Amino acid sequence: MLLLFLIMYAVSLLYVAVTERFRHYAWLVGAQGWLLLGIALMQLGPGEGWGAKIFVMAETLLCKGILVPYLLFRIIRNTKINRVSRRSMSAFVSILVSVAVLVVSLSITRWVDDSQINTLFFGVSLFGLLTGLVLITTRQRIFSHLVGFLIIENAVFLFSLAVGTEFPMLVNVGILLDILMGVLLLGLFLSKIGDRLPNLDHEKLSSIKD
Amino acid sequence: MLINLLIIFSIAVLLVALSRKRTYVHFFAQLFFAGQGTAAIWTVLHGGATELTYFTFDPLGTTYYGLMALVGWICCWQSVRYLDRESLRESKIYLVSFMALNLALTGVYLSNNITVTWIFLEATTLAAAGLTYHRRTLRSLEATWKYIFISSVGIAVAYLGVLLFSTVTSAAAMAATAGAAGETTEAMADLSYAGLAQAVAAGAGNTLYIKLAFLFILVGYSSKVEIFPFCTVGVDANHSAPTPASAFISSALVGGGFVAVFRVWKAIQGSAEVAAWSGHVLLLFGGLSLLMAAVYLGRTKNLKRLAAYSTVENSGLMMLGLGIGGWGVWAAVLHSLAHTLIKGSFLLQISVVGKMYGNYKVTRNGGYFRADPLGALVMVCCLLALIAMPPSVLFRTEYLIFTGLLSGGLWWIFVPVALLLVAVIYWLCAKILPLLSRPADLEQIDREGRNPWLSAVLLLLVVVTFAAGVWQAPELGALIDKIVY
Repeated sequence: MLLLFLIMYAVSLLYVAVTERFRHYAWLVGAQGWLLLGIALMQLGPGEGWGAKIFVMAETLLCKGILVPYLLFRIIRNTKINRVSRRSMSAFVSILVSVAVLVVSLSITRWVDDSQINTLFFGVSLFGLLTGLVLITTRQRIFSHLVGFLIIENAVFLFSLAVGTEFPMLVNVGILLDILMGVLLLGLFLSKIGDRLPNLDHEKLSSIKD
Repeated sequence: MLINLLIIFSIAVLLVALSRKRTYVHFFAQLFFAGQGTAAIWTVLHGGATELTYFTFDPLGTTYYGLMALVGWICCWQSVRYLDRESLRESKIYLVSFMALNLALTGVYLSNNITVTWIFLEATTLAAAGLTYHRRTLRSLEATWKYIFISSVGIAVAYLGVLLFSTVTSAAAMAATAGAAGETTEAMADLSYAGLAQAVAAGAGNTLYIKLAFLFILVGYSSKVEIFPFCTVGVDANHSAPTPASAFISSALVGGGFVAVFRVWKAIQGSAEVAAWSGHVLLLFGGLSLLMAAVYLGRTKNLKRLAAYSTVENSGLMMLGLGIGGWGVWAAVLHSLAHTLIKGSFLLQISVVGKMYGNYKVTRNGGYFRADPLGALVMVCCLLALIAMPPSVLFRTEYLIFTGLLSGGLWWIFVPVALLLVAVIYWLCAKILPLLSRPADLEQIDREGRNPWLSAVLLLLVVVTFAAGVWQAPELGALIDKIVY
């Protein structure tokens, strides 16, 4: 079951690379939140206390699975922009880049291969991290950049599960703070950027010059 | 005691937020900074103590805390004059953000745990964003968006580093329990700097993870310490924030970034292999930061951006110092401490220039020597200090860094770095000196914008750094020794 969730998570990353509709981005980010909930609960095991379970559910289900996609859909509704820019990379090139990223992630994972880290989790989270970075650097619209950031955040969460170490509460607080930062970015986008930059192209954010 | 201080500071912030008269707002803000100064003295007097588990008053933290309290108080003083035409609401938002940034930086300086430092650095992003967005223009929105976005990406990357470090400390803890009980059990990761240093020195964990963790943390914190690759968002934030806030960001926040990087760097020096690798990475990042600064200093036509790129150059030099090791580390720490005072003074005086001229264009303004002789003297002294001209203390630190490069046989770094520094010095002089001496119509300048008392205080600060450049005070040497070793 855990393996199935991880494979579905990796497939969602591949789909992020090819899709051109913002609505699909929002669905995929939400789906990743639900998958992370399942993965995290399985990792915790039945012996874990309720405190840890509630914390994980708050992080994954409430924030990543419900709040973040809700805000993304609201941004899409408010801005009425629903596709990536035509000047962005084509779907064919995107899938090639995504496959290359997957190969790089698997190669690094194979090279690292260490007992301290769950290599399967490590490989998928590395794939997520690189996919997020690719999305930020290759897409034109800042909404795509935002989705890229959210995918990186999900990858960081998955990586924390890959490490498999017993963390002090402070580390969980850090992860929660990171998620809240993502929510804040969405809020800023919703309340300020969307109103003032109608077509959301990142070229519009280049008024600061030397 | 620390919890009491936090309550007092929170009440001061609340009073600023709730006050309905400008006088009260300014009074409570000044009271907050007076409290910060007192708290800084208290932490120095209780050096070595640990409070609330995660905060230790070590020489590194308390020294930066003291400097931040001083620079913060002066910035608050000038902010009140600089923002005299703002509405009460705007003033309150600005001052609350400013105080929040102070509190977050206090946490960065004093924390003894890598995760706590990370949390407070994330908090500085939020507080600094409040200052950057102060003008509510499209430009400030752009700068704020970029700052929050890039800093958040950086902070997320840095968190990967924290998680990798946890594998190292966890391995050390597991080895310890296995040694005692004879069996291996899962152990809690100790993410204190002391715990990390012990684990690395003991050879625990995979060295590849330690190297990657350091790289992630350096990249992640680069927007704070203003080095390659994310330094540009710091420059934009400096450009958009009101200038007294820029002075604070360029001095205290950069100092916070340096403290965060320095603590991690110091913790991993127990392994010779990792130490050598981190040195190479720091040399690369430092060199690239210098290159960026030299190129963009030539292009910029804005005084605030000029100062911001100068920060990138100085932060690059600090990284070079750490990368060289030995005396280079000593020089890097002194460079960072002196830079906090010099850059703070420079940008605060630039805020006076902006108030008088109504803009920060380097190609248009002139006659500053005639319009404000004392302020112009501060500008000249800051320029001398920044270009590391004797008696500047930065001459001493850069001399140590250069001799470190040569004695380490790193002449292939020495030559390009020296050439880049020549370019930096040329651009700084070519763009700042005309402001002082270029003929200008003094009738066009608002002389009411002058602040002689501020200029006198800033002059005193810069003269203090000059004194540190010519007189090797044993107390200062002992303090840096304590921080470094």
